[in-house]
Amino acid sequence: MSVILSVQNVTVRFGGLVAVDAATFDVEQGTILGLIGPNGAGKTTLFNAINGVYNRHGGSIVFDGARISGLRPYDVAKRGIARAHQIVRPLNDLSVIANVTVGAAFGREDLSLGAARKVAEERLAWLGLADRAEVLAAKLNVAQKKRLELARALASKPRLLLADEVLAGLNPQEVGDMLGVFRQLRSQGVTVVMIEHLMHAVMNVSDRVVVLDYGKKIAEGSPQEVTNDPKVIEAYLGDPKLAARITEEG
Amino acid sequence: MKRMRVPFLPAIVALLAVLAAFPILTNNPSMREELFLVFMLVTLASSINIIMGYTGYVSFGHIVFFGLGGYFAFYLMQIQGWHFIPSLIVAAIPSAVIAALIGFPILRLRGAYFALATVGINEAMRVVFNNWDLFGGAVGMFFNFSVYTQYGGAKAASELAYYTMTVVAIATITVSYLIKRSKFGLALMAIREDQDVAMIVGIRPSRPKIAAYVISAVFPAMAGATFFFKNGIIEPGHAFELLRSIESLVMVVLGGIGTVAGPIVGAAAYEWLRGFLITNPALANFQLFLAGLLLLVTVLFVSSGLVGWLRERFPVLRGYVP
Amino acid sequence: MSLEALIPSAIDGLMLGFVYGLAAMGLTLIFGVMRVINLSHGPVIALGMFVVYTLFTGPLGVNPYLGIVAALVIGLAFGVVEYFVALDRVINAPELTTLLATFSVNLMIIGIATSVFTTTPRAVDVSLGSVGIGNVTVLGTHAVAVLVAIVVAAGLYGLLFRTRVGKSIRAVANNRAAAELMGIDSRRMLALAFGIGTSLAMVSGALLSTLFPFNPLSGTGYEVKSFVIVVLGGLGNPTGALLGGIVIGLLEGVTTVFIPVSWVPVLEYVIFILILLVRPAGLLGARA
Ligand SMILES: Nc1ncnc2c1ncn2[C@@H]1O[C@H](COP(=O)(O)OP(=O)(O)O)[C@@H](O)[C@H]1O
Ligand SMILES: [Mg+2]
Repeated sequence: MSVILSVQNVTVRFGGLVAVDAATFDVEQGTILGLIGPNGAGKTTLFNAINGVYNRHGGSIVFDGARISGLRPYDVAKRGIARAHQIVRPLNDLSVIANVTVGAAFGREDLSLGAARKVAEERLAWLGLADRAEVLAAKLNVAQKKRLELARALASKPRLLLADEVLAGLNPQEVGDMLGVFRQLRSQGVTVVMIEHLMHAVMNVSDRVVVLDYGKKIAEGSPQEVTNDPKVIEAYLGDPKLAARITEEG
Repeated sequence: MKRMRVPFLPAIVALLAVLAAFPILTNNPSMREELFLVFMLVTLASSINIIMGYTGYVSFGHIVFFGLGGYFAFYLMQIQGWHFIPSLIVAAIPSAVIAALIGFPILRLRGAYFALATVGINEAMRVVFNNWDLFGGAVGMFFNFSVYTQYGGAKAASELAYYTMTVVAIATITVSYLIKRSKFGLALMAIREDQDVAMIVGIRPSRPKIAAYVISAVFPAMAGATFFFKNGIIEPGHAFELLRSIESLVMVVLGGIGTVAGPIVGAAAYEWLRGFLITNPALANFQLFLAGLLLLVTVLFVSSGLVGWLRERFPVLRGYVP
Repeated sequence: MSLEALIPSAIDGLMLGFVYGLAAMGLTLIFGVMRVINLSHGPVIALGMFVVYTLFTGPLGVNPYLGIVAALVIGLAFGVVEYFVALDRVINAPELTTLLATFSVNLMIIGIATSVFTTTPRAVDVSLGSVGIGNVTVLGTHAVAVLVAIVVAAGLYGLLFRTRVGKSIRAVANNRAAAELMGIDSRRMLALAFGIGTSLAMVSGALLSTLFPFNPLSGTGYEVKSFVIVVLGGLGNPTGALLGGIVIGLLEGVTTVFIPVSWVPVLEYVIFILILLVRPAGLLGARA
């Protein structure tokens, strides 16, 4: 197996705040990496650095052998990195199918409108939104919007998917479905980095886990190694709710 | 995005062509004048809709391109002695170039800043032409009556202007329709909804935005060339009239922003309403007041406009009216 | 191009700048608090002129300077009503919606005002003599206009920074949701801010009526000037607006000594566009 994404010493600052502090890790092609850490640890910010939203960061990010640090988001997208946002961002006044067609038409594949629409229909069917295709995206409920966010990202047939808390707010049944989608992606050779607070879900599906705290990587390893790491437990103890969850579920 | 069951474009083009032929066949000059104005407003409204409705940039001073096209064409006809048609076509070129040059910096501004910049540009252009002797300065330029002889007299020239405006309007609608159904149009609408998301899915926004702005400038330039050819006089206050710009925005909103049919319906409805108010002696004085009231009611209660409202009310229409 | 020509026109421009600045403060206050570009600004300025005119030429022959006080009060009331009628429902909608909502009020005011007052130029005849210092003469009306503008601007600052209401308005401007959590009725504050902004525009119009002839359409020119000033000072920044007004006034006064009057607006718009492009936050940065 080969390394598809390599994050080296990545640092992002907002004024005096160091949101991501020299984060370093590799992701192997075709695996699922769980990225966990308390709220405000810098996980979303790290995603923003990877896909070019914050393209002036320290350190370097290499994707598929080429440095992508400093590229604009659209160039990053063209190389095959897609993103599902923590806070869903549907294109509200467009139909569901149009939203997903946008993902297919302009990403890595740069398809014609007709071909993009076919891919979009396929993705909607996969994520169970086929019957909502012609509805305006604004009219969907929250769980549906989450699936739409993922469908749009997947429509570009990405090589790397950055999934930011796509499970948050879903019921157990829906969580199970989503995990199924991630496993299927992995079996197709797609690499996934998922930020998640639902510990049992991350631990269940991830091949490896990276833990961030105050912007720093404090642990990395297999799910078992990480859950038994005292540093990780300590980090979460700062956040009583999550500590409780870990002791319950982990 | 939609598979059409009835071809909208041929239907609307046929409708406009028949409508345009009507005053000629029945030899009704006052109706011809009225339709000339409606076609001009349809052109202005449909053009603004491309940058405002599809792309999400409120171009408040869009009339600047109407004025520029008018001035360039008038200069070619009056000073260089060119025929109207080549003047119109050639005048569109510098207008498009100026749109690209302006668009490049100002399309980076968002929301209110962009809207204000377009007002500033229109006003700046107005005062520049006010001072520019090459284009007649504050007095502007006007034709000798003899200018129209090469077209077979004033009446024939007027008819030529009428046909031209019809063609320009139909061309604008056609382009508007094609954009809406194209991949380019989808990029514009994604940018309108959320430019950051558009970038994240792989759209590089600057090029489609500038392209949309240039396209939305070309047709008003042609309409301006035609209008002032027929008018015989051009002066800065009339060429760069901010109120006319805002009126076109109002038509787009009345008819339904972001739809192909909306600006057509809005322009026709607005002009019909104005005619009705002006000719009604009891209402003539309150013309502006009533126009304002109608606009307010639309904005507050029917924000998707006539066409948008109909499409929401009768979803089946969506397949027919883009 | 001697100093003798320069100083009087600079002083004239400076004085006018205060009045421009007052109107621009109203526009920028509204934008700063609720992100609305008020397109009824111009007609409201014109209304201020006609408040003074109507009271002055009416049976009571109210003194124009009392008329200014009336314009202040009427402006406040008018703005609050305008907010609830035209804006409250769409205050969270995209820019275009609020632009058009205020523009519809613009049309309505102009429609009524032109049918009541026609477009014949009017003037309020006041003369307060003049004061001569050396070879510089200052018209009394100009001096009083500056004085009133300064008093009203100071009043605005007192209100915004020294009172509870002002604090609430600023809280709403900063973060409406947070202000509501603190128990502030944000709708009332928005309406009040719109009223204050409108009142400033009317007072500015009232002052202008004592200086120049006018008709119901006269506000439009001042409206565009307010845009320029507001951008110069930073959208949403009242101090910037006052300074911007003074800069524009001075510029108009001084440049006419060097270039033909008709080129002055070109300069203004070029500055306007450049600032938008290079420093959209304005010379002072957005908000004080
Ligand atoms: N645009 C921004 N400007 C300033 N600070 C930010 C910005 N985005 C995030 N932060 C701060 O950076 C830190 C990391 O945030 P984030 O990456 O969203 O955390 P996570 O996703 O792990 O919960 C937080 O302290 C947050 O307040
Ligand atoms: Mg996050």
